[in-house]
Amino acid sequence: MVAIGLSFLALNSEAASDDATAKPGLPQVLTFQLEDGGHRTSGLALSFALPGVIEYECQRIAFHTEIRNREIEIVLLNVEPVENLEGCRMAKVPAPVRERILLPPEIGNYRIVFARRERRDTYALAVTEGTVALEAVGSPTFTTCAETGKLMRVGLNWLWVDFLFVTDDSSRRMRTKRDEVLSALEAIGAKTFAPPPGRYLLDGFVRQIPSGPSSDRDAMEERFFLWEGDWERLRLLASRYQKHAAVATRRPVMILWLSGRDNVVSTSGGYLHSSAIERKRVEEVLKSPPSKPHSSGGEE
Amino acid sequence: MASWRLSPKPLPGPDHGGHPIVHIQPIPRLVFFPADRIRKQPTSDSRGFWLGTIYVVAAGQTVAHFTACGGPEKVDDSADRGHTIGRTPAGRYALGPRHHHVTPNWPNSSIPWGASIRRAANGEVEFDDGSGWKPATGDRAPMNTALIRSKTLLRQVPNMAEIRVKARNAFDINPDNPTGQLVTVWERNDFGIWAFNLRRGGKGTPYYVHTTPEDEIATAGGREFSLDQSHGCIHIRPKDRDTMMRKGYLTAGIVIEVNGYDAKGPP
Repeated sequence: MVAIGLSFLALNSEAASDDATAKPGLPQVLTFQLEDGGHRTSGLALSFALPGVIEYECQRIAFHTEIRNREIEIVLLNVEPVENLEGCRMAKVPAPVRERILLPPEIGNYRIVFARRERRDTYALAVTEGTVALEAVGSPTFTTCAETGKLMRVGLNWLWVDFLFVTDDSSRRMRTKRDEVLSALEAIGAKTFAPPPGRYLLDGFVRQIPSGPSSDRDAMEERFFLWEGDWERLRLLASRYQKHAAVATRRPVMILWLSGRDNVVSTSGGYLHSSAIERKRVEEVLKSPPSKPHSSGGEE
Repeated sequence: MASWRLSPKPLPGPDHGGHPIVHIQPIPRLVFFPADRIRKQPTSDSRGFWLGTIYVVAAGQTVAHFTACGGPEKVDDSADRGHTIGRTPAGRYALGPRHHHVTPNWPNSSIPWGASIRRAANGEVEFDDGSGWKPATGDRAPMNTALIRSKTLLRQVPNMAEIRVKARNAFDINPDNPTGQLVTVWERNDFGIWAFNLRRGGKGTPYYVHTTPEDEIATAGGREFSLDQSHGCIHIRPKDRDTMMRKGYLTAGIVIEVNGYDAKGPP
């Protein structure tokens, strides 16, 4: 990830960047988040990124980690240009680079320490099969966690189905299609299920189950199932309803998300998205021997 | 002043049976306050981060509002990438029609969002935006042209052999570490699925209402995200874009007023 050997140089350049006229160094406050699911991780992860795309455009945080017993120390060094700097500068709004540290898969209690020069912020993390709890130890001086407290964890075989109709009119007119989707799910083996209500950590954000009324007054519905089958079948099912997700002024809309802890299939924007399938394809490619350079057709 | 339009559809309901219906709806206008909320206070060595709001006003009433993000409050010359970065200019504009935006100014935006992608027999990449397969890479193809232009904007001399490789790699499932496998649908256009130009005096401007590919991906994946500052365009959330399109707020000809950075909403 990041060379530890760079730390001396980085610390010195951070000192230089403290000059108000220089480009920003490490941010005054680092916001991090716990993540559960997604990102091909077997368990929990912790992630952080530089804030503000323009201010820190095409830069990333240099850091290294040290793990001793059940203490994970993250030493923040400086900001540095991203690896593919030229490619980044050619993107209109480059995505901030999110650094991700996998946490040990074993349940138990951990200490997470962020160190920045002489300052250290410590957090206590308690992980069980069904919950995760994070609390600051003392008063953090330069870090903040997006969500602290106790959160529930999503089961591996949970499948929740979100329908977004946008307007009440769409919701009424697409009721038959919604019922069709639910019946089709049951027909391929999905079993309806009611998860315990609570605040769940999912990916990097907290999802309230059941979700109350939509804050932006969109017409939405959510349903829950248990799913042990192949996600390819869910992708095929969603593809049948892709055409209903294209938004137009008069036509009713039904946008569909089929989400699990690690996978999602959706018809957002009128296109079929499938992180599960794409992830599988990427893994297959990564496992295969390196491909030859592209055929140049004699042009190079 | 409120404008009105005839609704193409009658309202459903018991009062309307058997009678000819003329239903009149007020034409909404959009009012954008680029800096009416602060996400990050400015400090001596870093600038603030402002979030804005688009209010929808119809018949003198605010009927809806959506979070939006304009350009930064201060122009940042140090972030020079060959493009300007700064405030969304205040003024009165009319929205242009929705379109999959294409421009040679940004390589990823040289191909329309949603185009099908495939490798041609000669090793180059082709795209189909619904009007047939066309070269995406190769001499004078859109990706190569945009890469050459970007290199020039970055004040670098383009190396044509390098451009050819980079152009093809841009379509790889992992462009930073190419695998040889191409994406099948183009979802990297910097303007998101749909863009709407801010037109002034009957002419287009360099400013658009649009989403970002990052936010489109997050939305498709059911993930939450925060809007980020644009370089001067107006960023909106994909879900809000869909809502605004469905309700007719993002329609060609709709007036959008952009306020200054010292103004606070609602209108």
